[in-house]
Amino acid sequence: MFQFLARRLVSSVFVVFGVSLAAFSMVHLVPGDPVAIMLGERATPADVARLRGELGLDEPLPVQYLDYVSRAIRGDFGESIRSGQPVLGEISGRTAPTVELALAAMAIAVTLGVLMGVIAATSRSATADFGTMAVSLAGLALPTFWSGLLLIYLFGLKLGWLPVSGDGGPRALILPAVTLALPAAAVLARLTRSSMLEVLGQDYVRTARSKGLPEDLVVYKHALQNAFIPVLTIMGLQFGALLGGSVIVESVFARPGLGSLAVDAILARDFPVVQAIVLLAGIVFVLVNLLVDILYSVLDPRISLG
Amino acid sequence: MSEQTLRAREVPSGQQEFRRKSWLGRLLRKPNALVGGAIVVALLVVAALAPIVAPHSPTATFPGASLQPPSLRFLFGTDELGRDVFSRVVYGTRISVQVGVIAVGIALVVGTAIGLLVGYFGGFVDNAVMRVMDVMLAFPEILLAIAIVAILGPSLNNTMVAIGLAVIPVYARTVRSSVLSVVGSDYIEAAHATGVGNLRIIVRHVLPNVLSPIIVLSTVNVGTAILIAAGLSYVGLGAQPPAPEWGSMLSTARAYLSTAPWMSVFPGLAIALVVLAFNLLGDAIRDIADPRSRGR
Repeated sequence: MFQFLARRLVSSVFVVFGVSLAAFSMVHLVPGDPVAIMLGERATPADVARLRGELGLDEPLPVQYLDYVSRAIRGDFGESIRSGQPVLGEISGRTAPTVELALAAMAIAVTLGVLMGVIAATSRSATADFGTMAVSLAGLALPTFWSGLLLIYLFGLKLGWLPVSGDGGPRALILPAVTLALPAAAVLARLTRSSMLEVLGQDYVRTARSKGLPEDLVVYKHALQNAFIPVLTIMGLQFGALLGGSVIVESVFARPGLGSLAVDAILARDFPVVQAIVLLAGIVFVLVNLLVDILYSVLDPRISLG
Repeated sequence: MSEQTLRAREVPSGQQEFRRKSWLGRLLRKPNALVGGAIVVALLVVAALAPIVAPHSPTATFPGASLQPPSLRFLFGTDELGRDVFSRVVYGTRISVQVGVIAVGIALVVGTAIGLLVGYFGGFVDNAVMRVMDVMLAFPEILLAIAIVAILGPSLNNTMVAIGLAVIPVYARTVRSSVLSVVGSDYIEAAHATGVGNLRIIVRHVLPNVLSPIIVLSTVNVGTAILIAAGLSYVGLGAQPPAPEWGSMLSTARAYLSTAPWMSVFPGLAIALVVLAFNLLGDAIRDIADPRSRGR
């Protein structure tokens, strides 16, 4: 157990190092002079030279990297080229809406996905199985920027039940969260179905049934508990996908989150902001995957020894 | 004696032909594959014949006919500039096919080459390259693609390159693990012993063993690539107006959602259909290529 955790920790630290190197390198990988691109066409050579100095781009690369990392650890990501404000302030103001959105979407996706998967796996009728799997296939193919528009049209404009944009409390969260949740729910439904089918065929489930336990108890307690383990791993990956998908969903619903900040920063070629978001996102994904691996080994003791 | 040898040779080759036929036969018997395949063929035909299928030019504006609902003249209605939405959706197939082919092509060629080389030779380079892949895999595909677009600059071409680069690690990993599973085999050892060169062993003996997982991967990835590219175009990082790209059309359509909902319906439907088709086809091919995964 400890050996497993230690190994996972070491590899996570390594990946975080790689992510920081990647975020740092972004500016240097830009074709052409990144400073000239950031400042736009009207910049004078003196402006360019001044910003180069400010960003420390004249130092040797290893020095620049160490400087970047040591400032980042202290929460100093430099200043936004667009607003001149510290990047940390810009980002921290935008984090809550994105985290809210991703968590709400995760909750919806797990509820919907696991329920659909269980129904598909346990249903005696082929139609119910086919129906839930068809819905799940459609969910996988659905572009969120389209399903979002359809939901806005139906629930916002035609029925007038829900607000269609902005960051106005829990009611404004419903449509974007559902939009973001649909593809993840589809993935989880497919996985839960196949995982359930496998578990339901095992001896202990037959034992539970033959000793006369109610079917619901067998399905939701005995079977689902074990069928849920592979689902949990995918949830970790899906959380990353949800954060990635929030870039698009925030744009559809005009929510002021990290995703829309990233898009605006890329369009304005505001590299300090983009770098900070890439660094933050990478670290969050590494942590989520680490957490899932730990949970996984706690839930299924067979894995930790491997 | 010679007759016997001949016959011995003929039988396996005949068997192989039989097996190949039944591979396609089995694919065609799957309803998923039939539906998916039919949509993909339709997509390719429409893309190839776009000027014939589309009644108008995708950028031609009809003065006085802006925001018209669907009619016989404009099947999918018109947009805010009086352009025919049907013609734009039809021409959009060309962009989507291009995105799918180029993005997946980049990932397929580069990723397979990396996987083959590091898996076959192993050692320090293998370790170093796979750690780089781990870092790339730490990001979801769409965010990695966005980060690469941030470096290259927003445009449709850069989006295709970015998506291709973002998917490389998936190919490299899959191919590498397939390579590792055959590299210790007797027939590879035998090839070594008889003095066959490394390159020839990789191409003739290792590559055929990794083909089936990468075919499965690529089919699904074409759909994913089209979906991501449309998403990036929607937020403004990919195709730019007036290109008849489906995602970018939806982005414009959002402002006219209450007055001209048809502008939002058809481009989105096109994306969903195409992605669905590649997913169905990919599922069916995987079921045949890897019977253990059936039904998943």
